[in-house]
Amino acid sequence: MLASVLGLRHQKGLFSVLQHVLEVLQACLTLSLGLLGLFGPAFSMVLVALWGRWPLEIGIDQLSGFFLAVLGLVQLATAVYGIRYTAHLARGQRVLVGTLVPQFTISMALVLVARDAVSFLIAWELMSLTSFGLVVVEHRREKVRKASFLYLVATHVGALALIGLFAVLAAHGLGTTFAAYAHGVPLLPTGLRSFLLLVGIVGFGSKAAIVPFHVWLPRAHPVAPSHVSALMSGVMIKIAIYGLVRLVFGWLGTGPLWWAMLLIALGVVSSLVGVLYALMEHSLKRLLAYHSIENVGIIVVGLGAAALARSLGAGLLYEFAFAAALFHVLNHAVFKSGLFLAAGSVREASGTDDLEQLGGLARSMPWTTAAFLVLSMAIAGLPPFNGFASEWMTLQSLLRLAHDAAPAVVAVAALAALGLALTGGLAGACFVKASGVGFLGPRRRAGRIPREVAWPMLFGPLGLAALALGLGLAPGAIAALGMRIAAGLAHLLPRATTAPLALAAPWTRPDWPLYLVLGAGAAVLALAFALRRMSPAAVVRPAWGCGSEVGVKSAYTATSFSKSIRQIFQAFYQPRRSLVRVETSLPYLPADVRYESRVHHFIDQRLYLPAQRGGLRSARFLRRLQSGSLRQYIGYLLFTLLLMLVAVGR
Amino acid sequence: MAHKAFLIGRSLALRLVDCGSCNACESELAMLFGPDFDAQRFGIEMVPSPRHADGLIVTGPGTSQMTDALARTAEAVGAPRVVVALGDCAISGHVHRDGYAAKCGVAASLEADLQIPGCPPAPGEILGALRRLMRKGATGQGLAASD
Amino acid sequence: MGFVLQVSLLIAIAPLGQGIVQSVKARMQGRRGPVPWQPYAVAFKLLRRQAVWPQGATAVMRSAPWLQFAAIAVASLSLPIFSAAGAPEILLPLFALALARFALGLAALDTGTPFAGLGSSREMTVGALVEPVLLASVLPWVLVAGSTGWPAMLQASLGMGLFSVVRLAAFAALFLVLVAETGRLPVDNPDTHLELTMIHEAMLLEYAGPPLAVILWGAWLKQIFLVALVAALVLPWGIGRPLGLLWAAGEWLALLVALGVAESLAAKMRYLRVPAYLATSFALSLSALALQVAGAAR
Repeated sequence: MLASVLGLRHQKGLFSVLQHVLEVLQACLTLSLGLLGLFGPAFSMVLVALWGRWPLEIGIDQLSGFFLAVLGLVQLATAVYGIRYTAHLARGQRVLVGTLVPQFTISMALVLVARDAVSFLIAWELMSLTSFGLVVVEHRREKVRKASFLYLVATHVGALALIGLFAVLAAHGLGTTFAAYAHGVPLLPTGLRSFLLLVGIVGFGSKAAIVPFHVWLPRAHPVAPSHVSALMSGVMIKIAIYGLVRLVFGWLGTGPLWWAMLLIALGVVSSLVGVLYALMEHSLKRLLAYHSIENVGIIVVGLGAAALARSLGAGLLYEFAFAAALFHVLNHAVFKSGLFLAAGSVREASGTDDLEQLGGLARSMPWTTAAFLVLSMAIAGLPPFNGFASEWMTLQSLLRLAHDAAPAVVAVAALAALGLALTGGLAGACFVKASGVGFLGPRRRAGRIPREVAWPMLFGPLGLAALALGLGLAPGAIAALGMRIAAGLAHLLPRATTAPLALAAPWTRPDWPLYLVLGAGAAVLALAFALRRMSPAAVVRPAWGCGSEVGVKSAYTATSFSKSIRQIFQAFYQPRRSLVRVETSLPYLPADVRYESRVHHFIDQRLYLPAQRGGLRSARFLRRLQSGSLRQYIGYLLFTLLLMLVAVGR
Repeated sequence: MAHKAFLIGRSLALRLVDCGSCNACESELAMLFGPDFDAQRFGIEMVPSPRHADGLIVTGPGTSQMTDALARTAEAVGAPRVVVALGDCAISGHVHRDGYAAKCGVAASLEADLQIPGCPPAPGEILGALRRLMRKGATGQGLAASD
Repeated sequence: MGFVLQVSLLIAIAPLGQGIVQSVKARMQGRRGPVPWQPYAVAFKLLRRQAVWPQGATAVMRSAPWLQFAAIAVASLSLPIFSAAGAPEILLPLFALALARFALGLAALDTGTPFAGLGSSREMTVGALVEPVLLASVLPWVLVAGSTGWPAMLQASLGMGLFSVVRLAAFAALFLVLVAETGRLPVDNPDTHLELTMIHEAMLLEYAGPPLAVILWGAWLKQIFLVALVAALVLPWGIGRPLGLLWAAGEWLALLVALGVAESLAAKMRYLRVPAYLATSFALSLSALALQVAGAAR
């Protein structure tokens, strides 16, 4: 693993080949390590003890094993993709990417295997810095520099919260090892544990991009090279989810109901905000980045449902909801990294990822389109793909929770279920837009016809698409695995209350979609074959445009596609439009019409902009203190001394 | 034409193309679908897209501005296709024949399977003619091969 | 085998359902209208016509009718018609309907024509809003039963009083969704010829011949599926009994007639008002839900 870190900075010929081989090997290694953790016994070892007090400990258990396997899987796809993709980058960027990507992936693996606060924080910081380096690769563009700076700030606010979290734990005599936390934290008073949860939500949430800590993600993820975006959106935000799971389920123990309700509320808000902004986005990569916020929201809803079930003492339901969240972690990693890779191919082949400039890719890039379509259906939660399986499980656990429960629980669970349904519907609309406008229909821009990319860049998207279908058809194994992991974390759970719930039939036979799909597919094929003989052979004619010619100008665009949603959710978007007509002598026939429409990102505008202004204003005020005059500084010293004397004297 | 015959025996879907009509034919045609004549009970319906239609029902003298549009619409209908010329204008151009903007009805570009004369033809006549067309279709007689 | 029989039955009678609605509408307009089995004639005619594909359309447009039909057929697998025991559960059919909508929405954009794009945009927008409303309208039963499985839900429905407020409110909510999901007035106008007023129809303007027949048959199947769903939830007394199918058929007939009457009495709503219409259904289901919770807490 470490071999590839030792930067193969020479990016030519043999070294380049060697580097790619090593990256692929590293991915396989991570994957097998993950599988080892999942199916082997848990183990940990102390590497070194700093100053004899703080042991640096690493280890894997089922939970880290699961996330490691997810990491390895995505890494494999991106490493193969990188073989061809990095060849297109400028030389300097290639060196940077070639050096940083292995370090980035290794630091993510290190976060997952860390078993104490110090090594966790070191790995976490390494992960943040290497990913920052990868975001800033195209630093010549101002937009990229701004985005990366925002990312740096956001990630450090999060890191600060995490350091605070671990400092509080250490201050309460729990040391730094995770083993001590697992036993010690549940014994802390509830108020303190609630505080720890809130700090943890800020710390991990700012990395996982839970609303309202999401502002950096849609800016930072898309500007990185596409296979890095795939890693960041597919895995890195999952690392933060891992941290949250560790904190909430591994350490904090059973808490009051509002913890779970807070998680569910944050999750639902994230998923809705994510998908609503995604609908307004016309850049493919930014659209995908917003969908990451949505999917993290769905994962957090699943975690919240698990926490709620645990607080209510429903053991099996806890395991099921937890498995739903973990399954969605895997699923989102599969389809989102696949989508980012496909978007990268599109950008590579056609020079843009603006939906309004694309179109008609299905004819020139059939394989990339096929992968993108399948993955779109997966992310939209449609059967028989994997997104459906985990969203179905999440919905099931919410609906289960609402049965025979206190009115507050019913309200939260039912509203969350409805929120998820709305999210699913909007995601469907969004991906009809993304794949319909981007890949189908007429080509919207004249010029060079994009060509299909080379096989390394197809391997990832197509492989992940196949995996999306496979996981959707046979979700049982992963669901069972997730429930096992949940049971492994639940040693805090009072076992007596894990009364088995009467399960609906599909729960006990989770592979049922397979039979349905195979049966329906066979029947439809037979029917299609039978009907083929009845009619004359099909013909291809120009599209019918009410008698006039159908052209690119009249085709629906991404803006027009999402217009009605923009109008319906006006209160949320607060859209502003400007219409400029260049008049001629004929009033009804303007020479040119320019239409522009913008939506209002109110979290950015209302929360972060005032905070930023406030920060700048206070900084300006504080600057007055620094006059540069020696006498004044001596005065400050004396004043401070006086204050200290007073304080000590009392 | 047995093939064509089977098709429109019980269901006839037509797409209206107005090639410069004065709209008298259209208003008579519209009467067909009200309570008095109720053409729908015989399986006759007007459809929005030529792709959904078994044929076209054309009105007007066939103005030059509509020539391309008519050709495109006719092309959009799959086989087999019937063409109905509704009203004197569509059949021959009537008073507009060889005028500055029109020629001689749809005959210039399309061969009509059915001609319904009149200026405008009464709804009853239209319905009767369409039903005759469907009956003829059912026995396969008297329909021009359009494909 | 019961499933195969059930799907075959629903597929077989789907056009008849449409024919009944059309007849009812014609009667309401003072016409005799077509015979109830007219949709069979239309579909068989289309099956023997030539398929015409627009230039540039890809496999997406060509496969969408079959995908849509298969998805709705899968949805109608999971209904309790002969018996409740074998029917899976209720979330899968809702997701399957979303798949059908997705397939057609994508196919419409594949044609590249402006009206199809318009239809796709509107259908997906309305669909996105319908999804939570549809889920909300089955929630009262799901929550009472504690499961999305049919046997438990039927038990729950049988356990409520026949005229309990929860049942009535939930039925009203379901009926409103039924009207919206079958593309009827006041949400969509199935008879319009003006492309600008279309929602569902606009997506299909480029389809001809057999694929169009498959799409239409799929839409009719969806209609009878939803009718059977509402009947099974609201009045499940016939299921699993001897002659239960007759009872169910009576309910379906009543609902189809009600659909035709309701459509004849409604005026088209402005497209951007549709959310308000759906919100009515949503509010009804939420009040059914609240009544249920309050009743349970008491």
